[in-house]
Amino acid sequence: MKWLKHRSLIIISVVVLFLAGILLHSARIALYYEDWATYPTNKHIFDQGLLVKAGEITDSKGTFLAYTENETRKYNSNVDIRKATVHTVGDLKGFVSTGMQSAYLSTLAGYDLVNGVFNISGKGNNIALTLDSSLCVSATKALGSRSGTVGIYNYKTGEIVCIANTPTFDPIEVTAPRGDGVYVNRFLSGVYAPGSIFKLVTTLSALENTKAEELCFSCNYGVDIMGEKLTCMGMHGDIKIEKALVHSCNAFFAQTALTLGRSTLTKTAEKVGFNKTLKMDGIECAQSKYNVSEANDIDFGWSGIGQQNDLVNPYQYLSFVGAIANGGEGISPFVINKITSPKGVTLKSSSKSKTTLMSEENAQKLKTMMRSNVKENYGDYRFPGLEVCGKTGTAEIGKNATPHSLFVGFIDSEDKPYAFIVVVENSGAGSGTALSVASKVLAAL
Amino acid sequence: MEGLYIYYLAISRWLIPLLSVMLVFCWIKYYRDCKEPLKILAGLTTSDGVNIPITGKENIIGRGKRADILIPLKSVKTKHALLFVKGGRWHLAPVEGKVQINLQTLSQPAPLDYGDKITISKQELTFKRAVDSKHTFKIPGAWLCLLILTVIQLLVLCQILLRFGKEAHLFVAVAFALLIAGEWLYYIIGRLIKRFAFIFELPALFLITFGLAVNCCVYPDQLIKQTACHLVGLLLYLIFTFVLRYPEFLEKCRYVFMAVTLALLYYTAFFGSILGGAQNWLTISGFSFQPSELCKVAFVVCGASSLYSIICRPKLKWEFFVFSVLCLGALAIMYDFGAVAIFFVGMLMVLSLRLMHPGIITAITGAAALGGMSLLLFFPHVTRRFSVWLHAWDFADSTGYQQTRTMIASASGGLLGVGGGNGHLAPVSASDSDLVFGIVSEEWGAIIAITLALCFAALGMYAYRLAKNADSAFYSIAVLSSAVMIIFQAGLNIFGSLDLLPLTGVTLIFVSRGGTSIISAWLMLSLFKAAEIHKKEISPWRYEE
Repeated sequence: MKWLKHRSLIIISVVVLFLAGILLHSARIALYYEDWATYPTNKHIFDQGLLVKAGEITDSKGTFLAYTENETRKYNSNVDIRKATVHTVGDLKGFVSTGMQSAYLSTLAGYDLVNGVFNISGKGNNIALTLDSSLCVSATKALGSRSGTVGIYNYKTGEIVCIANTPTFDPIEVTAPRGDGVYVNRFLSGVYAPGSIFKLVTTLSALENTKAEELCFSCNYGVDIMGEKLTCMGMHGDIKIEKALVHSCNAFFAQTALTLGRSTLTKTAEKVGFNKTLKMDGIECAQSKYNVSEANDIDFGWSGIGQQNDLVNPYQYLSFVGAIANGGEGISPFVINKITSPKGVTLKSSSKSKTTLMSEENAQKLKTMMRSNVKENYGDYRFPGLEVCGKTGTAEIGKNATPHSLFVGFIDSEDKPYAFIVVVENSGAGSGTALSVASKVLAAL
Repeated sequence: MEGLYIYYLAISRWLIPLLSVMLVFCWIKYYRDCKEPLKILAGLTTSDGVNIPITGKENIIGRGKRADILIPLKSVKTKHALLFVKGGRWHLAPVEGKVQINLQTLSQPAPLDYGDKITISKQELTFKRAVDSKHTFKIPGAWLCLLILTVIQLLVLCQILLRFGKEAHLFVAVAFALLIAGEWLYYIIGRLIKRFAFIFELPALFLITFGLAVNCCVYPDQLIKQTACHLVGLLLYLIFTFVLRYPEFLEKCRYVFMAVTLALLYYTAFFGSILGGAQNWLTISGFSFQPSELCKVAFVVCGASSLYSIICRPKLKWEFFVFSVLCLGALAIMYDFGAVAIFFVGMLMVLSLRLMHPGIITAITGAAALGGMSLLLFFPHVTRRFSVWLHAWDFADSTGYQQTRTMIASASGGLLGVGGGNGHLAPVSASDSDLVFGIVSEEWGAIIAITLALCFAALGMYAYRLAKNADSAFYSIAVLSSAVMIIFQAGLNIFGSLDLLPLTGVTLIFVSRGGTSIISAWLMLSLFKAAEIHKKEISPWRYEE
């Protein structure tokens, strides 16, 4: 009998193995339930691979951007609004992976682990965005046929009022995979060589780590480092920080970088969001990169003026500029105002997340420099009625390519506390194309 | 109607899982209450007056660590003698050493009476009737469990009726009524019979309930056929439970069993028809059935009847082994690799239970593994099936179609399900048999689906208890090997459909659509019942003087 009892234990081990399998299945469900349920063949949510069951997506004024009616997904009837917001709203096949209809698909479909796809009303949850769709239209039109992106947010509240991307497409047309980057939300997923807009980071580092006002370097159409010439657009002679930012003197900032040292500048860059994955409402953005650990002096010098291998993600840089505008306190930009159930119960509302990126004093100094930059270089007439602080960038991206044109800044105003970033690809000087795009968009605010 | 249904669904989808969880706990309590205290059946007294209690019905007397009655003397062999019950009487048999009853040396098993003197290597023992053998244990009632189950069944029925309204199959309510009436009648009659518990019936009924629910929602045109199969199964269950009371009779007929099993399997392998992938169907005057399902039961009975006797000759082990290999061969010819695996596991269980050396078991497993590998080399379509295993999402629209759809369905249902008949898995091929776990997960929720899986674990646990306390090794072998086969099959089905194991296309017992598999499942359960009720009192050989 002992023998038999002993061998009977085999059944116990079989039962234990079986239970382990059930546990494994449960664990997999707990890990992957959203991925599985939102797979495009799930007929609860999709019809022949096209999104069907999802709640409404509205902009800040309550304009419907996308909604479901009679078992079909519909978009705003205005083609310009559709094209201007598609990168935030998303398409029906999930090609725009950062769009709400992909990244927030399970929320929109009303799916959760407990209830599955069941919902007593048969509808999904609604998302109210902070976007102003007419502003997005203006920005898209201002970008025109050029590729690029515009992002604008309220630096006091964090609400993003405009995300525009070109090239764009009309989401009601049946889409197919394309290789031209039309589905990319450049504001979130793009990275660009920053050019001179990076000088704001170098300036901040100088303000924080040295007696910046006393720094004085000479510029003779550039400066020689390691026997190589780091070129500058002008012959600025002996120049100090305030003038240097206004004139965007390469020689000054390259030498400032060398004075600060690799680790100090990297520390400042990382503090303001470089080499970090930031998230907009949980949607991951591409990383801004600043890496000079293996750079020699001349390359490090170039990195101090936003060339070499520096890369900037528009979302990250916008939140940095917003922090300057807001006295050093950075409010993370967000695009979801609130999520409501079909019956109108608020499931999630936006919450401010603050990080102090710099001291109020340094923010004020940067602000002053950026203000005089606009006043002296570009002219206030470009932004009638607005006190704009800003910095342009012209990012060299190779010998035979036209540089990217960038412009970042903010309106110093209580009524219109908006920070903005404009990137126009392959369009030459920042003070040219990007500035004129910004001037058109800010006029529409 | 639409509005009423939605509100009913919103409530019942919480209530049904909640009651199911309650049922699980009630069942566990009932299961524990049903545990009989260890009973002393007899005793041996040494010449020094030391009492050795005997609690098993198969005892090895010897010096080894596996001995039930340990006599730590050097002159005693490791496995000296056997003391066992056969035909309701105690017997003594010599194995490795010499034994005497009342100073008469035994050459073969001999009956033993209370008061007899046993001599083992000069050690004298007196065989005695147990003093406390007359205590009674009353099996508690399971009415609370059954009540909860009935409420679940009624909630499910209402949900289905409201869901389909006038389109509901006329037989839906009849089928549920038959189920509820049947289970209560069975329970009440069972309470009148001594030693009749209701332990494994509850998980089985839970499985049947959700099998019926899926049947009503997904393939209602088969409702009458499925119900008829259940009724036939129940009838055979009752008959077979009765027949199984006579293992000696089965032992005598085992060659007939084996011959019929092999004839049926090989006939199917060569002349059967192909339905759904494997050539494992036999059609007799319009009725199609899968002989391999029925042969599972025959296989277990053959194994148990050949090997149950503890003094069986070694030849018998090989007899069963050859029989098993022949069965496996027939199934392999049918391309029914799911069944091959199940039979193989059953065979290993039977052989391990009967004193087979672990080395031999390992050798058999190794040979099988080698055979399996070479199979993969020779049959490319089997290889293809394996290549998708664990990579179903990479082949989501080709070879991994069924698995990925099952995973999507199981996630869509969440914990509570979307309601019977509201799922989208049904159009996928074999959804009502191979992928039925996905249907249950989607429509009735993960909690119900996991409870269904736990039902199989419960059968396994109970099999262990039955095997430990069985009157004869026949029941131990039969119950354990059928339990192993049931659980293994459930695992192949559930984990196969979820891509945790290769998808082999076996049914989930009592839940999947299928006629023969239902009847075979009932027959398997009759082995459990027989083991449960078969506990004859031990009568003395001759009366004490």
